[in-house]
Amino acid sequence: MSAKLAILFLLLTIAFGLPVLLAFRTADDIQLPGVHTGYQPEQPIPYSHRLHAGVLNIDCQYCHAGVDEGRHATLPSLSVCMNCHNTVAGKTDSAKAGINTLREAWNSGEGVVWKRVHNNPDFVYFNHMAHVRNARQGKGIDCAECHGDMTEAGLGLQAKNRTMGWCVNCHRDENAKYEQEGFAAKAPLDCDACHR
Amino acid sequence: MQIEFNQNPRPAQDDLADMPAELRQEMERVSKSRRDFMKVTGMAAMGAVLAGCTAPDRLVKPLLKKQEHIMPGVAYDYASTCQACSANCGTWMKARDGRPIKAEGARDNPLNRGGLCARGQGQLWGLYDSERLKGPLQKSSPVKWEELDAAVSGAVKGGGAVLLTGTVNGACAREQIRRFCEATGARHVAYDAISAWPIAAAHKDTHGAAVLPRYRFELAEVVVAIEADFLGSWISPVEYAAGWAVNRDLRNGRRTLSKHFQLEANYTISGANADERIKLPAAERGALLTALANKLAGNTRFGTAGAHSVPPEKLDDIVKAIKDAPRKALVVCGSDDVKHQKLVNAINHMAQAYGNTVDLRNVSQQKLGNDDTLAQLLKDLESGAVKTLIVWGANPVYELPEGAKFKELLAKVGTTVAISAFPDETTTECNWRASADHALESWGDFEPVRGLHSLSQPLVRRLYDTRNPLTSLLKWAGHADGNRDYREVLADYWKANVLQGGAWEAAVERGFVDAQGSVVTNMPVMNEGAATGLNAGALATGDGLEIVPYQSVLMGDGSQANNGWLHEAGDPLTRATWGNYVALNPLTMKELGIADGDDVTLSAEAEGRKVELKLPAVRQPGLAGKSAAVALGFGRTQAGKIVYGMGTGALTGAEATIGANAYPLLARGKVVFGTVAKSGGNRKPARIQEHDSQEKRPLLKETTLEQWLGKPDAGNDQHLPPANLTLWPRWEYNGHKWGLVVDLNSCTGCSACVVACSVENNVPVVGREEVATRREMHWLRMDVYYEDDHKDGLLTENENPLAGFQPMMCQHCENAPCETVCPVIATSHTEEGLNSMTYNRCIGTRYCANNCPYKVRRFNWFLYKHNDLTMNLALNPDVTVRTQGVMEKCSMCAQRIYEGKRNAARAGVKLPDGAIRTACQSSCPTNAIAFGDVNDKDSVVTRLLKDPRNYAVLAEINTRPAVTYLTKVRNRKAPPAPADGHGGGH
Repeated sequence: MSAKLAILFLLLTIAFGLPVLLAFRTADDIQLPGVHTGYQPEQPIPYSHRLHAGVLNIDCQYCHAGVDEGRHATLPSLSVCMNCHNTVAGKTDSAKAGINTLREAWNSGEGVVWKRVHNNPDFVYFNHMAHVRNARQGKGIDCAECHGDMTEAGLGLQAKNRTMGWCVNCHRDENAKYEQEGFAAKAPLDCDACHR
Repeated sequence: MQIEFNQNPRPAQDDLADMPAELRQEMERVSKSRRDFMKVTGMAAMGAVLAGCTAPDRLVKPLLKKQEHIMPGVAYDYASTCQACSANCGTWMKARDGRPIKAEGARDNPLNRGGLCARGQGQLWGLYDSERLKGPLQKSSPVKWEELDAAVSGAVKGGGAVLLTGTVNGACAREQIRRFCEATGARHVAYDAISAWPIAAAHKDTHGAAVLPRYRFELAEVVVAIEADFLGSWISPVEYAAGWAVNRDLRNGRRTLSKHFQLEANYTISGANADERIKLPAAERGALLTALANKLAGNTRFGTAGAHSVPPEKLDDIVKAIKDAPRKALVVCGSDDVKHQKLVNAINHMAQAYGNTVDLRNVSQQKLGNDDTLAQLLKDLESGAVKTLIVWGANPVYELPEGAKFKELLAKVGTTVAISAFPDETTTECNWRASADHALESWGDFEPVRGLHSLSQPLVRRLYDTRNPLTSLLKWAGHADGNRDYREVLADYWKANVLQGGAWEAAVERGFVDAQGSVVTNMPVMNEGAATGLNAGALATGDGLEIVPYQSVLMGDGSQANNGWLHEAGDPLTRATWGNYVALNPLTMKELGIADGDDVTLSAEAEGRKVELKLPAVRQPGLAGKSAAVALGFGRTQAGKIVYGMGTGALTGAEATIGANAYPLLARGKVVFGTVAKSGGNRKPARIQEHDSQEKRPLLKETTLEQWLGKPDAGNDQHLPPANLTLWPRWEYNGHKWGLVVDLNSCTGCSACVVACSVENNVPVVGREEVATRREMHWLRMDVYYEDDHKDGLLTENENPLAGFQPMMCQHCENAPCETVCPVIATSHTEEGLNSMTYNRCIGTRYCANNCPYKVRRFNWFLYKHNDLTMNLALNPDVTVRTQGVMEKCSMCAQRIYEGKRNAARAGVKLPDGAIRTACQSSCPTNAIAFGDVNDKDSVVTRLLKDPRNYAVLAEINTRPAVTYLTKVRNRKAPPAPADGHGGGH
């Protein structure tokens, strides 16, 4: 590549790159590829975590059953929704519309296609059971530590800045705590704990 | 359970056939314009930063109603029965989210005791093969089941129907066949591609019952095998290997070894593992058996023995060993001559083997074919007496020696029906093709040994419009049960006849019902007269070389020819992949002026058929002189894309099959002679290992029983460098420290672990050309080393070298050479003593592979694609699918380690020893591999690490591997030490 071309390339990069950078208001807005903090997609039914988990105080695991048994947090099957919504029809118009959509999906057998909120790359192996059930000598980690306070949220969203550094820092903090308390069990820092 | 609409990890690729060419283009493109490539990737990276601002929407659809005991993302084991061959081992199929992803041997099954061979492991490939029959066909046009049923039941009612099958041994299955034949007047003919009928026929004469005995290798202190590869391919290899290993296992304080003689023309893994391997040309089998029987009897009542080449002192050794071990000797023979088998019966009778090592009560039903009824069928086909022929579970056009004639006769039959899951040479010749369930999709029952009833259950909902074969038969017979789910028919039959009050659900959960003890038989008595005066002692004569067709360990009878895992695993002895070859003794090759890899033409005449095979020649030390061995099961023409694709090499058109079909060379009870001549060209087979000598470095250590008894570390005197001789601080392991110990004395080289590893860890299949350029991707390979007798570093003149096998995977070194050279720390040491590989970090410098002394690291030169999309369903979701440009290697099944740790933590217990089993370990028929925590002082591996036989490969370079081996011990006299003083076996 000649010197002229190199300069041209540099200028072009600045010309196109600068407006992109300026579009972000603060440094916090710049996200690395694959990090989608604050991602809160529209869903076919405007489900409210605030109402269910907050106001009604339903346990997370009533719907996300099996989160302490396997890798996935799992979305509830429609039969779980229908346990209540067979009778609960909603008060506001938007709630009524949403519940109607749910009932139609159930009655027709079509089901509901949701948008997945938390997507790990294919090379990351996260396991909910290890965190929700096994961690901290079997006491488990509260859902809110990773997912934020869902009792205040509406639709599902990515509350935390889910990067590898975030995972690893938490594992390091846990290990420091274990050592203080004299426990042997450790949060693994080996690469093959998540990548294999 | 939820279904994810993810982007597929691998791009769709619907034709594997042109993959090598495409890969070549890709390679040329990248190397030609490296700078363009860099530019494009740079821009793509920038694009990724911008795209990173918005998340791609991925969809997820929960079930309407979750099944109660099944968690999404959690794998469960279901008991079933392996149908890769008629040995019918018990399996535990691992299924996750409604699809089977791995087969394991059932550890509680009395037949295989936890092992499962390579072919059993490979079954998954067939399930997800998109070239299966996807619905009923008339010729090749789709029809409705009703049309097919109407046509076939009409034809069957017209009389003259014959049902031709392979071995069907299930009690319920046989009852349905009986009902079909009763209702339609059809005749049932069963045959086996590799027949064991001569053994049954001999027992009919000598014991009055045409049965195949169950051989109890676990009770045999002396094993004499004559042309029977019982560790690799003969009748029920996993069962036999597990039994054989019982008396070869020195890890539990045992101080004796069984004595294993192998007399054979071909070189098999049974021969390689024998204490004494004696070359026996096929023509001399009768003479040798007559001589052996006479010597044991002390007279000549078995006739005159011709001059055979077995040295008299060796024969005396065998006779003495048999005589010294009454009731504990076992003679098995793979000869297809009934007279030979009668002599074997007489020998076993004199050795008092019947009732002990040879079981005539719980007889084997793993081969129920009857060659006499098959011969009658061929006559009836010729005379036109057969009006309708239904073929199920057999491929006579390909696997009968007279297959070409069978194909012509088939055209004369009015109605021909194939019940098959796959298109094959016979199916494509039939008018009607009833698409059958794959073995992993259907209910079925099996009785491999009388009294041992085994069940198979569907692991996945039917992928295509297929039907249980027995349902088809019942429908055509007009039986009401044809309209019921076969599961109900099976359950009703079992409740009435098999379970004896036991619960059906419990039987399904366990997978088998063991009622062997309740079998009542009058023990047949040997009619000694039937075996005398056979006059089988004469030598077979003919011009040229003896042709020895054999079953290879991996391909077997060829029914799984469309299976890349099996083709690529490579023959354990020659390490040749993707095709068969003409194996010749190095001395014979010299005589004929043929070099290794030369193209040759093998011409022979068998039973009046002129056969000509064009194949490469391969040097096989230890093959009987004047013999040429060819593997059966290759040269399929109608098996699918694999057959046409990856294995072709330079050939095109009709020759573009993988290898050549050697079945026409089989001549029942006769030895075939023929010629092998150079045909020009040198189409070297693609081999995984090209050099089979250790060059006097003790990689595979071996000693003799006598030496080992005198000195527990015999053959293992290693000079270890001091532990602190390292540039880096020693690692400390406060929690677990994993270790894996391979007992080379138990390892038979069967290569089940190789295929198990590939299935478990999503190891790609790369094809013939890539193997030839040494780019195979196996995480675990089976190294073979022949006993050294070298001139100039090459094995040449040795008359009969034994061979040893060494499974070689990442050794997980403590001072790992790979770790220190990685510029990006993509390969790192874990706190539990493993060497982990982080694919997403790897930039593909390949420094690690260059620095690995064990050559176990594999580089993804290309994006290896599956031949079809459905094959993606066979991928293990717990293991990353690696992409182009990254390094990979054995992870010691990290996914299983973490799963085991999680489950122990969940149960709130300390991790029990044996709770984690690596894929290679759990597939091993002889239990040669042990895995566990070295920091657990009570674990099996801790004990084995202290065994004086324990050693590390290349210990002298101080890599301090976590994988170690135990010296092989043979029960034989020490071979004379070579001149330079490095004695002790290899």
